[in-house]
Amino acid sequence: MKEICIPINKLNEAERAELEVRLSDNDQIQRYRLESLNMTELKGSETISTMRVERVQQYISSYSTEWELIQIMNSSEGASYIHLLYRKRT
Amino acid sequence: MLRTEELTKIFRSDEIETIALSRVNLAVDRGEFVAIMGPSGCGKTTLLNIFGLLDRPSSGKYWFQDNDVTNLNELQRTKFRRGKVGFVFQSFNLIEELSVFHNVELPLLYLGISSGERKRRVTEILEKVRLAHRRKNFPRQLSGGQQQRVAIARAVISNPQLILADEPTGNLDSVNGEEIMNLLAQLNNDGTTIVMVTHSPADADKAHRIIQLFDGHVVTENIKKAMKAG
Repeated sequence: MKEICIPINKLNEAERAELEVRLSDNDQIQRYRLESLNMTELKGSETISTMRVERVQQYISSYSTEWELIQIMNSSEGASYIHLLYRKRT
Repeated sequence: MLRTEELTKIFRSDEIETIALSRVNLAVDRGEFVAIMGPSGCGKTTLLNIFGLLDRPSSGKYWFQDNDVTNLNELQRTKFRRGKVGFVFQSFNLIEELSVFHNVELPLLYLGISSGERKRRVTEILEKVRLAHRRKNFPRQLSGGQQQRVAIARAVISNPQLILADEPTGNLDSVNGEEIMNLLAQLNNDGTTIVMVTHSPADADKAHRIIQLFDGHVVTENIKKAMKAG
C-alpha cells in the first residue's frame, strides 16, 4: 500500500491539520501538514485568476524549506480556501 | 526534447472563454521522467495533449525535438507524432474487438512494418510485460492491471522517444498500480522520456521532477532525483 486516506471529522476550511506517521519497521517518522490558503477577499476581482496564482506562488516560495510541497487541492467548486499538503524533508 | 515558450490555451464556446493554460514556460530533457500534478481542472491534461500533438496552443510556441510544431495542422501533427510518441490513458483505450496481439500490433501497421517484423516485435514486447500467454485474449477478458500493461505495450511497440501517460494508475488498485509504475520506471531507465499526469504523490515520487500546475500556471517545480548519467 502506497497511500493512506484518513477521514478527519470537523476539519474546517481554514484549519491546519498536522499528521505524524510512524512506520514501525524502522521507527521512521514522516510528518505532514495540510495548510489552508484563504482566497475569500479575491472573490469578485476582475483579475481573480492572476491574483490566485500569484498568491499561491508567493505562499509556496515563502514556505519553510524544511517542508516539501506534495499536492495542491481545490476543496470544492467555488470554495474560499485551497489546500496544500506538505511533507517534512528528512 | 520538449520546450514551450509562453504557451497558452484558451477554450472558447459562444460567450464563455476558459483559459486552460497561461504562459507556460517548460522544458523536458531527453531521458527525463517528469510528473505533472495539480487540482482537477488546472490544465494538466490539456498540457499533455499539446505535448502529444493531439491539440495545439492558442498562442505561444512549442518545440518538439528542436522542431517548431506550434502551427502544424492536424494531418501534419499526426504524421509528426507517429512512431515518436506513445500514449497511456487512465481508461486504457484498448479496442474491444481486437485481441491483445492485434491491439499491440496496431501502431506498427500504421508505420508500414512488415508482417514478420510485426510478429517478432509484438511477441517480444508481450513477453516484457508478461502477457505473452494472453495474446489471443480480448481486453474484456483481462483484469484492469493486465489491460494497462497491454496499453503500455502498445505505447512502446514503435520504440517512441516519448511516452505521455495520463493518470496511468487512476483505475487500478495499489498492487497493479505499483506494477505499472515499475514498468514505466523501467522504460525510463532504458532511455524513454516520460511525462506523466497524476493525482498520486506516491506515483509522482518515481519521477525526476514534479511540476505543480494551478489555474493553468506552473506554480512550482520540485527536482526529486538526478537523471541517470548517459
